[in-house]
Amino acid sequence: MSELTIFSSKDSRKSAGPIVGIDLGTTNSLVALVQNGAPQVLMSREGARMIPSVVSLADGKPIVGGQARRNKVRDASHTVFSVKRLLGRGFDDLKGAIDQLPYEVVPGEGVARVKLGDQLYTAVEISAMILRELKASAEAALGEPVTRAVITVPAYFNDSQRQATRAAGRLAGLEVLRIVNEPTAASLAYGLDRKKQGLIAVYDLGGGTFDISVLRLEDGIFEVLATNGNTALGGDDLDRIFVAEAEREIRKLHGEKLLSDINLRAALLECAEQVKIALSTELWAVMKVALPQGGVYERTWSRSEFEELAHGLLEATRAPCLQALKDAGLSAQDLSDVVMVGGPTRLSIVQKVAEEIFGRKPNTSLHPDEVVAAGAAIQADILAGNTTDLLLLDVIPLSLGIETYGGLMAPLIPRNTRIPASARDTFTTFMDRQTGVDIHVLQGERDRAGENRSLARFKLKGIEPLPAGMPRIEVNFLIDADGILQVAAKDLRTGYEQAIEVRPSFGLTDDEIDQMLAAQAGSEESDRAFRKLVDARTEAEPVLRNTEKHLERAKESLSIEDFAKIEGCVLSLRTALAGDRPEAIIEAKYALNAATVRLAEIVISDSLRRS
Amino acid sequence: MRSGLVAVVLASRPETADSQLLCVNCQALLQGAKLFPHLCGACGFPQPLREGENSFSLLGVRPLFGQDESFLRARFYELSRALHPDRFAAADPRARHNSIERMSRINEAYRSLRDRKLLRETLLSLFEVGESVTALGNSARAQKGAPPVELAESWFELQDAVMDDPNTAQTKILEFEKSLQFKRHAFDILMTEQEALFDVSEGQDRVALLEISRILREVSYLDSLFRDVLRLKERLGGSPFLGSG
Repeated sequence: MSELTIFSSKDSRKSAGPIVGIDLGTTNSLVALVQNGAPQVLMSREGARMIPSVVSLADGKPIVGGQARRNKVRDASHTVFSVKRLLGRGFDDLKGAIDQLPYEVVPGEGVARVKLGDQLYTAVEISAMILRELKASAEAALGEPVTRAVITVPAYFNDSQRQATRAAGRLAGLEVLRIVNEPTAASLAYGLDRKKQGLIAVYDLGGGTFDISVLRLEDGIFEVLATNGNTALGGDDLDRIFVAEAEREIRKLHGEKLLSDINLRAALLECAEQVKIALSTELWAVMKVALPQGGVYERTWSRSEFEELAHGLLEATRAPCLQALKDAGLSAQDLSDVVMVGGPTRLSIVQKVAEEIFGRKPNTSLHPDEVVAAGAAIQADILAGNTTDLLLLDVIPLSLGIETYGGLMAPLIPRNTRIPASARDTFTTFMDRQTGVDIHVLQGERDRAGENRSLARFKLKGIEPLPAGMPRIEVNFLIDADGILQVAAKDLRTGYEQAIEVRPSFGLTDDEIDQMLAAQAGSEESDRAFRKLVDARTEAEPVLRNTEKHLERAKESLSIEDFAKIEGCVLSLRTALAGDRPEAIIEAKYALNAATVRLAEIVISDSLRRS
Repeated sequence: MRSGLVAVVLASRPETADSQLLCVNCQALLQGAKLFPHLCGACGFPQPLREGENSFSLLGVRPLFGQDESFLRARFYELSRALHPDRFAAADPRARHNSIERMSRINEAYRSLRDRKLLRETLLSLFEVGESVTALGNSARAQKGAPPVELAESWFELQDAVMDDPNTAQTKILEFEKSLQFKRHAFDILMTEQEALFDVSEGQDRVALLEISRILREVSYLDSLFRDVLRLKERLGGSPFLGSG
């Protein structure tokens, strides 16, 4: 008899620091944590609630967030954004999606890469930079290391896109405890107060993706009944309405060549977004963009003109909504609420389309930008064992199966199956004395294997050579609560078995990630130093500029000693700024500050006298 | 609720002295635990799946055709709350593994007991009646068992008739489809009757199961005929108003 052990479902992990919830968005990203029972968004290091999902190069080093966003137009060729649209997708996958982007996407081994300066990065690496920034923000806000996270993805993300997100997390030094679907996360935040019960639909239109989920909320259980969506439709596409029109008119007036200007394309996109936002409150707005060879492009848009075009685009959300309702075995009247999530749902036209689809006014009371991160934080708290009265029962968005003879897909786990899930089925050979079979794992809804996504291939060997149709090969699928698929195939006669964990080809193997992590161990230190350098420069430069501006004019009023001292300090600050030692810059700045007390007095009294 | 013979048999089986179940973690007796046989009442450890557990026993309901949907849901939620892997996110790997395995089977059981078609398949395979219909077996052609003779004959007659006289083809196809639909409806009624017989007998009426299995084979042949007729109509450039299977 073995020793009696009392089992505890909560143990050691509690001491390992907080588990944060991260909304890694197409346009903006947020990090949140449940504190005192309520999810709180953690401020970025720039003091904002949202961190723009933008990466830019400054002095050859990547910077992330608000500062990078400001470079979108100023330095378009060194700035990437909306990289979530590329995540987990091959170059061929992206046709049509990338020619609209003002940065360069190049085919790489297995996966597309973006050009940032003279370096190539995968979408996983860019996403990891954004995640690192979120991690650093959380650490700064909490004053302790953050190493574990729950990250949200669009519900309709396929396996490669999920795996790519997970890889980005790992690359950023985060243990990703769970990938959660965005609309499901939003429902957690919506139903947190337990008063909300019944059947709801979550209409989630993000910057680059659309999801619809139908759920039953009952006594703290959040049961996803069905989910559907479109990973290539989002608020960005509404911006394209203005850009497409502008491009047409500019081409007509100035020719094609002008449009290849990367800065112009970035400016058009930026301005389009502003016009879109303006039109949500105003009846008309003007799009005005300076052209590179001089002159200005100007066009007035009325809200109704925009809404008519947007309506056409947004109609594409109807089919996924109806399919999700059908899969849930419901009709629109059964729903007690339609919840709007995502920044673009602020637009009245989006609300109008949702109302048309569901036949009821949608609920716009949730914070469209923050609710997903809040939900991720709640799921993180559930996994930490702190929240025990809520539970999320989620589903897989796309069917999983294997290829059978004739190039068909035999689904083993249909879409909308609750996870964790398992399935098994028995297959046979189609040729006499066949001793091996290819097991080709597929994801998707199409009958033909080739039209679905290929997740993995492996070979089961050692089958007894028998007439066709005689061997019995059992294929087992197991999906855990993280949505990770394991496939095992077994020859029931010989007992020979082979199992794999499906790690689809998003371009980075585990080994590659480990290598990158190792290389990064050193670079993280240098990243921190670099940030310090940038901060020091940003603070010192205005001091220097101001001094130089006033020094000449106040020369007469200063003593020779003071003047010489200031000149010396200016010189040493300039030298420090040209170098890369933040300490030297800070020191020189202090010295200059101290030396200019008299100068400041003169400048102030001078300006008082003049006024 | 009726007190059922099957339920008594199922409940009494583990109580015989030599089949006492012990917790794999702390060796406490599992019988009597609130969530037997899923969790140990003493230490809360999720138990591995054991031989003989099936979709019905996992959800604690009797293996019959009549299932109460709201009872199933309440039971499913109760089990999910206790057994879901999220509850064991920080637990040791054995507990995690058991929780994933158990929860995935419970998910599957919940799905198959709420869907009429899946419920039939599950019951038939539990009592080892008929062939289980696999994902590959959706095509009726792959199924064993002879098709109903008169249907097969009238199908061949129809094909000949269509070849001979394309002018009357549409009418004939429509008639044939109507007879298929009528047949299909009759099968549905028959099946419901047999299911009721089985439930009334508290699961003792195995003849009813055999009958259901036979009807299912015929239904699946019918469904394949519907598809064939559809193809025939497409070949003739048939119009959609003819209705569908």
